[in-house]
Amino acid sequence: MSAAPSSPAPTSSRSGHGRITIALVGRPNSGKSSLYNRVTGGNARVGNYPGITIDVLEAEIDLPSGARAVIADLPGLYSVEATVASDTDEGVAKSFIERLRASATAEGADAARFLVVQVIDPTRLALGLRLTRELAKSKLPLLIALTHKDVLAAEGREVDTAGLSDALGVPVVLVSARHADAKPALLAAIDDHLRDHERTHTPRPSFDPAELARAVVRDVSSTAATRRRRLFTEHLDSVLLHPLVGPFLFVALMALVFAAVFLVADPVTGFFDELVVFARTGLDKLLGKGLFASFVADGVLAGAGTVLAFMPQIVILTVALELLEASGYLARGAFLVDRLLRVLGLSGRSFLPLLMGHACAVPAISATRVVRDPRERLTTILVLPLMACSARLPTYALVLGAFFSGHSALFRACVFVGLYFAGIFAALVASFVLRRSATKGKSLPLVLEMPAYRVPQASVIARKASQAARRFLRDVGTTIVIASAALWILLSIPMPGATREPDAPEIESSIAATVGQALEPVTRPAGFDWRVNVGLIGSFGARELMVATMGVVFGVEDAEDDAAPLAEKLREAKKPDGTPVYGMRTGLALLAFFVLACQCMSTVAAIRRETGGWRWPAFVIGYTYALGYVVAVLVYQIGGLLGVP
Amino acid sequence: MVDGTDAGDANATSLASAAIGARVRITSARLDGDIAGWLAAVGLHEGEEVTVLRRAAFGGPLHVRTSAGGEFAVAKELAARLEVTPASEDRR
Repeated sequence: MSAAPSSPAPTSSRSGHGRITIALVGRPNSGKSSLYNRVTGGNARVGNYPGITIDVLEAEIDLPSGARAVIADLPGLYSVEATVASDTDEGVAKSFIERLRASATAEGADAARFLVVQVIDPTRLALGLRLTRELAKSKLPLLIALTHKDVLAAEGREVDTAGLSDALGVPVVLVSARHADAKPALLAAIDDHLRDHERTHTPRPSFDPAELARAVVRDVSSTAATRRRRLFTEHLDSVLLHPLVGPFLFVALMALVFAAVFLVADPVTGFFDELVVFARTGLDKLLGKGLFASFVADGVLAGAGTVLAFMPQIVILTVALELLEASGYLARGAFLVDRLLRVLGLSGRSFLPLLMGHACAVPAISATRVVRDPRERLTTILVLPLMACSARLPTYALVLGAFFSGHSALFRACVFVGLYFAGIFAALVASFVLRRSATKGKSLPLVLEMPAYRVPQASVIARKASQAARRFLRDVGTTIVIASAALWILLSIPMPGATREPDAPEIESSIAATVGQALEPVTRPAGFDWRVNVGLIGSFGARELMVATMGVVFGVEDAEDDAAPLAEKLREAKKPDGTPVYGMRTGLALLAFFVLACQCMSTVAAIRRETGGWRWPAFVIGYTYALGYVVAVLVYQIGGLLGVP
Repeated sequence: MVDGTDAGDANATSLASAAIGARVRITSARLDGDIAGWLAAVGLHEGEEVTVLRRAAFGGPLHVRTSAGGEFAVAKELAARLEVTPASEDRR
């Protein structure tokens, strides 16, 4: 059994006859992805937030009859009739269903070769039945899976599945994705449907969803416990969405999430560092000292070390976000911050991607597919690279250590927090400007379903975390390793014709140093000399490589593991007249540049993937570098006027 | 995407002006067809009864519950385009 993200092209259309495709469709939060996980033991992203399933996930399963089928977990969908943009979650789900039907017709196969399983949350049955009516109208082969059987029971309600099946003209099965019996029950129903399709099951589209829901859902118990369960979400909302307490709790919760990310990630990152050092020692013994050994150790292995250093943060932030999402809180967060984001031309729907951007812009850019409005979605993608992602942290730490060592730890902590807010502020200002220029136009105001609060499933969250780690390795890890290897070439291979003093470090004749020196007239107004320029060239592909590059430039071994000796070298660097090369204002200018510039090829690649061309990635590189440069110059020059050293 | 007629201004019969706790029925949506169609599919359609649960601070979205059991955050600008009348007491 395997599962892998795919484009919205049904597998059956690729693999020809004999294959059965089962498409799980349903409204966001209907429990579709949990059911998919239960049936496949697989990989779908599960969330209690509208549109959280980003890619269409597929897995092969064996049906009880022995037939093999592909089961696909589609993104949340409200309607197959309403007009939706094709690059949003709903658009992806809709076009998947259309292609599924077209491929069955084109191959001349009968309709039983695919089956639409609509997953409905029976606690909100009338809403789900609106989609059922549309699916029935389209004459799609249909089976209804009601989930949250356990919640229904806890609320003291019962659903008449036989009555519902009779009214709809399609089979109905009631399951709980939290219980193992959901899998055999659903697969048996699918098998029966596929077998009986020829002679039975004509979906009836002529029913009133609200009336039918009232007729089949009955209250069977009214104890204190069931009443409490029914009012659980309402009671929790009265606190979490309280006009005064709500926003306070929201900020506290977000602060807690980020504190957890850094407190928990730190020791794990330390452990990975040890591993890399261990591997390096082994390599030294194996390959000795030479150009190739240096390439493997300083180029490839160093890149791999950088990737590993990120992993704990990515995993922990994923767990935190999944917990917030699966519990239903993220939609509340969107409700609370919508007004603020509206001022800037965005809406509460952009809140999830913007929050994720603080871990890594790459998954956050994919997550913008929950934003239904195309202009708002594009704006969110364009400003995401400004969020203070975890890759900026090593550089911030180095600059703070090097240029602000004379200040108290509290002062440096304040600057650190200030840098986070500077990123958020820059993103908000950029979005404000973009919505009045490049992405101008009216947008759809927020309409967001507020799901009932649910207890997250630990096994599902764990699977999400491992999925995020694998995605990061695949999408971002490879880019970082390649960038690191390319950087090694730039820093280690001498520029043809370049000369250097006999006692100067080899790097002074490298390609990167030659380019860095050529750029000095442009970067001097920001206080950057050729060595800083080399660092910036080195961090073009991945900003966290700045520290390692500066380490090479200043001849400090393993600066990325311990930046203190490098920070000291930076402080000690003197001009011929004895004054320090780098003052505090160089540090401030450098920080300003790092807050703003999109030094991340993985982000650029992700933007290209999501916008379908090079126009917007080029725009992002252009505007963030221009902004970074201008602000760095302003900071350096104004700092000079104010007498900052 | 929202049409150009008198945006935002709350009038006596829009959802945006309904009091917290009020139970109202949607009578029409002053929106372009695509958006109105999607909104109906989501669960905010003509004839649906809606209870206003709360409003977010500073003119933020409304939190509403529909008689079908759905709960939604609806931006004030959009709520201002949904015409409502008080719901009769005999339903529910």
